Amino acid sequence: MATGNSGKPANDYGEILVRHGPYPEFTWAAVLVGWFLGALIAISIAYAALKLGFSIEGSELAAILGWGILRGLMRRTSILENNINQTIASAVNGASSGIMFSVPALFILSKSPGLESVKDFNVPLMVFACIAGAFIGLAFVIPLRKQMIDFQRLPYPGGIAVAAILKSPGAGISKSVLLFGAALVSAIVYLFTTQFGANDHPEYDLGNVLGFPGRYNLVFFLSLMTIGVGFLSGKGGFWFGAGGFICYWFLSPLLSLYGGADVQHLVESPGAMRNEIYRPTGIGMLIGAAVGGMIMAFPLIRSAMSALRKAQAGGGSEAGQDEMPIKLLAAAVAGGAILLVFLARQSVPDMTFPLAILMAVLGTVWIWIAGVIVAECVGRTNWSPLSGMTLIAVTILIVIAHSGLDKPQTIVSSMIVGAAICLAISQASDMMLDLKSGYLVGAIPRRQQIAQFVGAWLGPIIVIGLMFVLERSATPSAAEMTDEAFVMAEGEVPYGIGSKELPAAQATALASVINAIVDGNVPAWRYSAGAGLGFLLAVSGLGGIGVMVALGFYMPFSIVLTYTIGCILRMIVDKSAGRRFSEEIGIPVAAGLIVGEALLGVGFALKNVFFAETSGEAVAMASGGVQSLLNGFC
Amino acid sequence: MRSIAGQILLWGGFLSGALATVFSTLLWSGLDIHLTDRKVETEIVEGLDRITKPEVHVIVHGVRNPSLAWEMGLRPGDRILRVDGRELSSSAAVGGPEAGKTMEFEYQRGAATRRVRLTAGEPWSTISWPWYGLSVAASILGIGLLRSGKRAAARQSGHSAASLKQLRVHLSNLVNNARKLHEEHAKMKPRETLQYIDERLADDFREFADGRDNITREYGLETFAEVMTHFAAGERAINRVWSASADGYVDEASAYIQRGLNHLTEARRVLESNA
Repeated sequence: MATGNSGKPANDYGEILVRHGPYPEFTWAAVLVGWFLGALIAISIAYAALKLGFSIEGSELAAILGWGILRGLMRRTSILENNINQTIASAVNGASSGIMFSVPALFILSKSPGLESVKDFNVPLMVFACIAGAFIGLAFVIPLRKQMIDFQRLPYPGGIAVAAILKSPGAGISKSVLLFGAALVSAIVYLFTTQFGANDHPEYDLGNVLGFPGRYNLVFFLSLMTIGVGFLSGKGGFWFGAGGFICYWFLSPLLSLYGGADVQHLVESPGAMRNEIYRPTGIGMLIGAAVGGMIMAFPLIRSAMSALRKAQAGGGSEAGQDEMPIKLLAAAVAGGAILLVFLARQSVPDMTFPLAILMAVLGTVWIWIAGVIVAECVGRTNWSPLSGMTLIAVTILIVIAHSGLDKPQTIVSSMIVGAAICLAISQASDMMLDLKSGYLVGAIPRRQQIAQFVGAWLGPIIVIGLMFVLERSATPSAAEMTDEAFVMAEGEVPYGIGSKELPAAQATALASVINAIVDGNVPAWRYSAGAGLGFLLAVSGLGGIGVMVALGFYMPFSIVLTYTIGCILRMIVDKSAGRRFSEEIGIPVAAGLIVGEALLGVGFALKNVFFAETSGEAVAMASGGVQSLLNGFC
Repeated sequence: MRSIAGQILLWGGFLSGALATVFSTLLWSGLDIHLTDRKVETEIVEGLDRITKPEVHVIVHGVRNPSLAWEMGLRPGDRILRVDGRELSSSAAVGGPEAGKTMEFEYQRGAATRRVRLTAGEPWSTISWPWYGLSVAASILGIGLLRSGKRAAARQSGHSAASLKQLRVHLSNLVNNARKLHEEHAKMKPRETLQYIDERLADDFREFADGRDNITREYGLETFAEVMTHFAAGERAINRVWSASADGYVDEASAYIQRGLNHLTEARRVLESNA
């Protein structure tokens, strides 16, 4: 139970009209509103991802808007119906982060000499690959629900926030006041810090004020949402903070004392240290920790599967009927893998069958590993290392494909399979988050799982379509290109996606990484050493710390610091005022802090879609804060 | 004692391994140099105004010593102006050239501008693997000690047994209160159902969940999985009762009270059968 209301007068709940008959859950109204809201949010966030370089999940907005549409306009009266609506909407929106991080890289690379052909990829095949990837990701992650939510009871702070919104109609006035009051405060603070802050990323450099050397990186991310996430994670988030402190308060100071001259110089630039050292080490650690974690959790996973099989055997008990059949999911994975072979084979003319099989099999295995990593990271901290996992996927695929294909074909084939993997990972984390919300409101998992499939196919069609519209709208005519005024600086993408008009920061970064990988420049040793360290922590028997410490290495320290404030606050409140107080007062407030900032971020994105000409700059300023938060592209 | 030694070895080994991983720090390309970007604000005159313009300088951060680059005179701090005659917008433009490729660097040190031709070799690891290996070995030893120490402590303290007794109390409370809710639900208004769940069931759900790991320690994973499957299904059913009551759907609430009660009763039966 997420909440309790001890000592509250009964009338705080208000009078409730008694209704008879079936309780609406998976209805056409929920599906249609979910598709509509999902499309709206996906377009907004996909556009924002290209324009501003951030992507956010839309569950909170879908829940709030669904509340307004289903309850306000359509006079519907079901918390669970709104839960299905937000599940479908966020499944549609899952494509915006998955695709906008990967596919635009092809457009950007196509503007480099010798790679012009990469933009002529097979579009229906790409859409199909994304849908197939999304389905494989879901089929892989759904059986983990029992392990992660029922057994491990991972907190999923975003899921708690969505559940708080969903339950607000019945939670009583005082809780609603706490939730929406905190949301208002969070939105105001967010607006203030982004509009009046010194730069796009609202941060407070306390270290500079106190005269700390730059290596300690004592910079706080100004975001009440981050504090809220830390509060909901509680002491479980301790190791995430520890990972960041190990980097900047232990390793960096030692390097500044004993490292070479070049290293000492680098240590004073924490951003460069993160990009050069801590992030690649953290990616390696995440992989090692995930593999170690899976080995350690294998008996638990086996027990979960066994319990599920037992429940589903012979027609199934009530609990067994609540889950999608394991055999169906296994068939979906096998079918998806075969489909990936076909898609890889068709991706470029020179692709051989053995190469396609190798890419598809490794891609499928990686979907499983990365799905587990991301689901656990989101479950413990609300942050998803999607970009790191995609990076590894693309690296593996390029190394395989380059053994038998030329550079352009290597890139196209790797990106088609890579986009499928990216979608799979994105859907996996969204599914688990939604299943947590569902658990808290009493939804039937099978219905939510079907709802996720119902939404997942639509996103790729919408987002890839939008991408082509934007690429064409930002591409000048042949006459304009020969105009004297059309002169670009060297190294700049002249038009379309990747240009100043549509910078696509994440895809641009991926494009440069793809170039580096094709040239053989991969920090493989640091990945390997990091993987060993992550593996050690995962098998240490100290539950879940491998992934947490790894994520602390991977994420910007400013976020880690602010998040740690939330964790410490929770521990203090638990100890001084009691856990009941934390749950009665703290959780609605923390959920509100998340909701307020997230809503404003999506609101700016929406504004940018409909009033792009006048508001782009303002959005760029205002949305920077969300950039590193719910997106996972940190 | 073993646990403390294990913790020290585990974390000492981990931190030492992390140091070995980052100490060499930079990913050296086959050119034996490491480049980085530095953002600078340059003041320029435009018309009658003096304005600041942001620029990116590509700086040599490290040079492997000994290496061809070192012998040819490149040093940390040098600013790379052009590579093969092309101006650089960022260090990424140099990338990681394939082994055997020769590139001409034009660089600036102080006021002087110089040129150097470098041929790329194979990229190499800067991580000190012997150091790293020793650290990992220490950690593995620490993990072994930690695990055996924990097992010994669990055997001696009897802590799990006491906690299990407490778990049984919470589960019994849940079953009894769910049964009472089932019996009285027909007479209750939806808001009273909400209040009953929040006041009579929420705490026991939370306390039982917090102590669930004791089931694994005492009875093993199979029992844990079976108990938690029913417990979670029961809790989810009661959560659904809460939602249905908040929306006023009393039939649904009634059906799921029965269902939640069944699951909680089954969880208790499994736990008791192992006692």
